[in-house]
Amino acid sequence: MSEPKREGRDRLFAVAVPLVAVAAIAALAALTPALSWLGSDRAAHFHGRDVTGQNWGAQFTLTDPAGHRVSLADEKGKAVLLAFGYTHCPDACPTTLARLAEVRHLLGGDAPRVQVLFVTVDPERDKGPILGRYVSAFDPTFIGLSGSEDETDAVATAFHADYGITKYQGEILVEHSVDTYLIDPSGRTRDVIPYSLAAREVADDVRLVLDGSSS
Amino acid sequence: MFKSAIRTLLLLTLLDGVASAMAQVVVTEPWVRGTVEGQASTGAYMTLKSAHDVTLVGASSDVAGHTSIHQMQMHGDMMMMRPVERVQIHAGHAFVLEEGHYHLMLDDLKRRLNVGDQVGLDLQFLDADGTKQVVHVVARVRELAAHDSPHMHSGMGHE
Repeated sequence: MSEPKREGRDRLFAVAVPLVAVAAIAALAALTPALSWLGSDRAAHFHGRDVTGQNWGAQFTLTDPAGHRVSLADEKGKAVLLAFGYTHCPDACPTTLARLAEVRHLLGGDAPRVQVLFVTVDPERDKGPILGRYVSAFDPTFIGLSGSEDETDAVATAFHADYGITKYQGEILVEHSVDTYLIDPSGRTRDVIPYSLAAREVADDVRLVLDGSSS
Repeated sequence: MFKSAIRTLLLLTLLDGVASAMAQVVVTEPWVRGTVEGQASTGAYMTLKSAHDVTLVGASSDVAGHTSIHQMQMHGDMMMMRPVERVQIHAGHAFVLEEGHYHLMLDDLKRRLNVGDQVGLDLQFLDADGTKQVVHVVARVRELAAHDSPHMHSGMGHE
């Protein structure tokens, strides 16, 4: 079968990251563990990709399903786990959210110090109460956030997350990055958590930023 | 003469019935991911096995306005889903519709799917000779956060 064609009319939200930047990030990512290893003061490492000091991410303000504006800065003092997705997602998003719910469970008494934010890349269809119901089904503390196209683009770009929406034979196809971003209690993005990490590994990484032992 | 023709016809019909029963695709562990109120789509998962080569060419369900075969693919950290027109089931080899791989995409859901509900699915197959076969499956609804197995089979190494 032919590849689904992107339709120009439905504005494509694909956020272009120049190849050079990707290569630079990949090189940094490859070097980071080696450098950390050399630094004797670093007792522990992230299971994910350490992006400490790389100005990864940015402050943002989006809207929760109740219509309140929520800023990343509101979560200062907590570790934030930020993920992108959409409620029509049958597979990757439930896997990610179920894992993040398990992470909170594994953190036990530290769970209240962690906030999960789930940003929809499909705000057009995730309007109204659906986004809140969806994320709450995994954990009642999870917050679903949506924004305008520009707001969503800006947040995704800041976190080097990519997404696109395509129409194909009447179906709306969404693709998106499935990394989760760990932001420390002071608001700095520290760790890019790949989809393949297990809940206990994510919990280890969260403990590191809560302890401040990997700063 | 006339009677014997009828008998032959009957016999042929019976034999035909036996043949298609033997060619029947066996579906095991079908399940559908539960939804929250207002959620428009979800995925269905199961294992398909057939004694003969067959091709899954479509599916439908009473609970969904539109059902299609989807393949999920990972490109780097990007999750991509695309509809596929057919999936080949090789004789004797189990084909698993599972998380991170293939699923049936149920779109335009007509109602909320609660844990424990039963969802009827009609799977359409083509045999090697082009004969159409429809297999009715009753899938159980599991929770939204359900996993199909303790580990993923598609090399993504989750847990």
